[in-house]
Amino acid sequence: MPTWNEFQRGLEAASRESEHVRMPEAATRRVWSRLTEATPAEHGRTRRPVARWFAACAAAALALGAIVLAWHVYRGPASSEPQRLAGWVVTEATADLDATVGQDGLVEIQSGGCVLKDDTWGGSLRAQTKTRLKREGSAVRILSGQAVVDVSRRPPGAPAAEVLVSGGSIQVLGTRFTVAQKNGSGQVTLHEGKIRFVPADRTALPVMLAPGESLKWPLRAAGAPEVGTSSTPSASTPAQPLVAKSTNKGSGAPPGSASARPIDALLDRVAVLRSRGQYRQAADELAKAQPQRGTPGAESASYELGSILTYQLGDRERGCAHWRRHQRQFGGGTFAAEVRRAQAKLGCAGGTAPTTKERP
Amino acid sequence: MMVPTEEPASARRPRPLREPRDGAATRFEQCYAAHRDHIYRLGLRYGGNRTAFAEDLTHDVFLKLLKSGLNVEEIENIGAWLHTAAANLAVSRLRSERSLLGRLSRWFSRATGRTEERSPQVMLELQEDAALATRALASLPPRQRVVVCMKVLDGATQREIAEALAISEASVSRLLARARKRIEAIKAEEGDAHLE
Repeated sequence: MPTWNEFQRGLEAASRESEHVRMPEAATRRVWSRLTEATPAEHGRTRRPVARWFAACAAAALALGAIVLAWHVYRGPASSEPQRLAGWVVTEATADLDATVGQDGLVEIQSGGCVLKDDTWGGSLRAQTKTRLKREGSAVRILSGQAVVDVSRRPPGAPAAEVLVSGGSIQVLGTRFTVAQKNGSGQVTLHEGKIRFVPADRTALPVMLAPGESLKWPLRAAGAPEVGTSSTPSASTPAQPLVAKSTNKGSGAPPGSASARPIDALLDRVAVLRSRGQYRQAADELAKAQPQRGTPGAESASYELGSILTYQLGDRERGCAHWRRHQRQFGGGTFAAEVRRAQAKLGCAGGTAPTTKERP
Repeated sequence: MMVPTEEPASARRPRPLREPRDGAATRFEQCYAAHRDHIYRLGLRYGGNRTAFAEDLTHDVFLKLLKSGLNVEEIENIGAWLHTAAANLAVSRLRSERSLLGRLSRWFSRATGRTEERSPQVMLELQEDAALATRALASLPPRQRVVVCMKVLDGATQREIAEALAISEASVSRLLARARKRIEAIKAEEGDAHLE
């Protein structure tokens, strides 16, 4: 195969033909200039390393771009500027949200629901349809409707976040509760943490609520019959309570209405036992009754039992078993987020603390 | 000290050498004027007729001489010294070009308008066989390319090549054999393509 010889001949021909080639004038000047300008410290630097430096920068920029792109794909497209309602940031909203803002900063949820957040106030409100609220100084006033309040834990010495209602104010130190307000009456139900209800009538003493407890207003004078509740005062309440506490949580009954369902009688008995600190008996009562799915108030009773097992008795085995049963019976249900939170507290398998989005 | 070139007096003159300023500088200047074209041609040869490569190689070779601290007069055969330096620096430069960073660097150079065009003067004058041979040479790995040039064009023996590149004679022999095999393969591929 004569190819190697051909190559040699071709190469020699190329060499002969380029024998007369001289370094161009411009190149001669450039090289000489680079040689003369090179100080001893710069001798190692040539044009090629400069290009390399740029190439390295380009490679780094490409890598950074790839990381940013991957992060963008992972996190989804950047959200647009958050919607605001009278100084509140709307962190979540249903598709059918229709909210108006009055001249005095009154926010009225006409339809749908949303989560309003205000870092200066220190928490968020999940407001539902027909809820009307507005900022009053450093507090939030619920004029009507229902809102779930979620306040981040306050550092020691920090002022409490305050929710104003017709019957007084609720001072919050880091907790989650539901407020319902209608025509001068209302109810607060505490889910977690601790709140203090300060009656509008300053002659009445403040009332501390424990998780699972509810409080209705307007407050009635001492000795007046309590509608739908039969709790006894706890150590934190005044000797002559002007306030009625109950654990009729989540029964769905409008504030102030009498309890007519059989399940309410059970819950009232449980409330008495709870107020006496007889949590085990309360749990046994609830476990014995075991209202079936479809029974009005069954979900509330089930949640009540789980809540006692989780927060008062701290019984991990029974608590986890109960929450599993509860989820099977009621699925997502009204207390889905609370159930997951309780499971997380007990360390049940699959129990995770709900994120802000999952909270009711 | 002026640029050792035949450029018109009105042309821009580079600044003089900072050091050394004595007679050694003049001798370096003379050396540059005498050998730059030869080194530039070697650069064209090793770089596949790329002018930018040849220019950079010329700079590197004379910079190496400058940094070596050797007096030009002390070197017995300055031509051979420069030739050897050019061969070694060409291998290094060609190797760096083949790296990922080198490819990026060349891409960047093209993107910023610093083209590495082949010398049109040479390319126009090359006959078809010579052009084919030049392309085949350019396809060889750096060390094979330099070894083939030294063997075929400079008529160097394997021992001389080994000494110049600081490798063993056996390595030179292997490099030449591989280059030969590769050239023949390229030729065969070109022949097939031509027939098709």
